[in-house]
Amino acid sequence: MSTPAADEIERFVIDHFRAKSECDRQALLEQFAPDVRVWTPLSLTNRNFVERPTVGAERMADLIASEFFYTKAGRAWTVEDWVSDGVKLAVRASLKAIIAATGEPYENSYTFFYRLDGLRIAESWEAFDTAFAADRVQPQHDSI
Amino acid sequence: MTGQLAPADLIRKHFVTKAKGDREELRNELALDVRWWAPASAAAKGIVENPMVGADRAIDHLTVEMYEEEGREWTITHLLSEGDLVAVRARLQARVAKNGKDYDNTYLFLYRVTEGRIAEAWVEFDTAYAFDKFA
Repeated sequence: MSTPAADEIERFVIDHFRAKSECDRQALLEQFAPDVRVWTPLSLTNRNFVERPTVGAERMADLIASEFFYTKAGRAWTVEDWVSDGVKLAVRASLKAIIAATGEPYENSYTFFYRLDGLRIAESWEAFDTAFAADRVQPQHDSI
Repeated sequence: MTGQLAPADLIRKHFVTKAKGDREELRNELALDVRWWAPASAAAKGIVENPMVGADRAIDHLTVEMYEEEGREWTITHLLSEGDLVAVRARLQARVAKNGKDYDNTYLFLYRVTEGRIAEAWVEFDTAYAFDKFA
């Protein structure tokens, strides 16, 4: 598979975070490799938020496109910076959303590091202010 | 003077320097007016201001404030550079300075490099784990 060009990566980044904002399940299924592995912060697994690693495009689409963490309405990701060599991709982004469990507003900053397979995410590591999130967010396991 | 190392080379060197706690070399790697953005809850707890501004302030934070110097080890697992931006995923193994607890956490950094020095940095890490260790 050829390495994507910079303009292709830029379009991918914009569309992936659009899909996350709009809960576009079909787009997410195309953007994640079928066997994607996602490494969320360890402390959230210890708090029973999500398994680590989270495996599979279907599972990722279920988590993102549902109200597992946030309501579908009012969810907005903003890409602040991104850098890529065509194989690896790092994105700094912020999320504004409504917490599904409480209806309270939520705003946090994230950094993602992706390993790409063409224009699909094959592996992902993410880091964010987990203390802030853990104090506010309660996963809604029955939303999927 | 660091000179004009390529951004990726500067950041690789920076991780060696901060593990050693070499204040003079850190001064060569950081812009005088560097801005250092930490997670919001770290600022809310009074651990750091957000952003930290200035090389002297950042050097104190990187060398003595948080972790014991002896045994402090940074391991870069991924590094990605394009233009003036460098992204790093790295693991820190250390002991917490205030209580001696073992600490093992993973960080994602994004650096903006200007004229061979770090001009801005954003850091995200598992703060829930970290605050448990700092307590």
